[in-house]
Amino acid sequence: MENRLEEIRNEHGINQEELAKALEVSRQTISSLENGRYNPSILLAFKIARYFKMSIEQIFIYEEE
Amino acid sequence: MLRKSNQNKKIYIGLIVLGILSIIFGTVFQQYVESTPNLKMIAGMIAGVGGAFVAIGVIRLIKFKKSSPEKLKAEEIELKDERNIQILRATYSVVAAASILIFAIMAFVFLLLDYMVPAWIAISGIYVEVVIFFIAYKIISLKM
Repeated sequence: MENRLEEIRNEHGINQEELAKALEVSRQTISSLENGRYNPSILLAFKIARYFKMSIEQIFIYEEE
Repeated sequence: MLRKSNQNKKIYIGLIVLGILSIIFGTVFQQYVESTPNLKMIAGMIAGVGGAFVAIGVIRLIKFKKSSPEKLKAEEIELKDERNIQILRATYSVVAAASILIFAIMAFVFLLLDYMVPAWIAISGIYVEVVIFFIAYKIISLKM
């Protein structure tokens, strides 16, 4: 699953550390999400979407294979 | 305002209590099995493990008291982080599979050396792991 997390985070002018702190996850989780190495749980996806006041679909792109 | 987590404190105190109980049990048990060296050794091991629990509990409790709320919060986040939990679960799966393989190798080596009792213990270990797997699978399936 692809995502626009890094792009959106940069638009909001915050670093990974700040985002991690706000979402109560580790900085490595944010880094892995941005690199596409890790897909978040539905709870974390909601937390991210709510933090940026966006919908999940605006951040995470799901394409059926 | 960040507050210190009381859950960790309870775990450390529990560890100290468990350690003290193990030391008492091991020491008392040792008196009753004075004439049986194997049981005496086991009693000594129980007391020793208890001592280790007390030491770990005390060290962690001192560290907990000295830590700032920010540092404790960071530690809590590391523990609850969903990616870390997934990594831990995947690691446990690998360890579980490896332990079955280790038991099988041990059983094979013991059979070759004609050590029948250790071989049966190793084979039993494999069966116990398989049984635990099915029980755990059933219980976890019911919860999800």
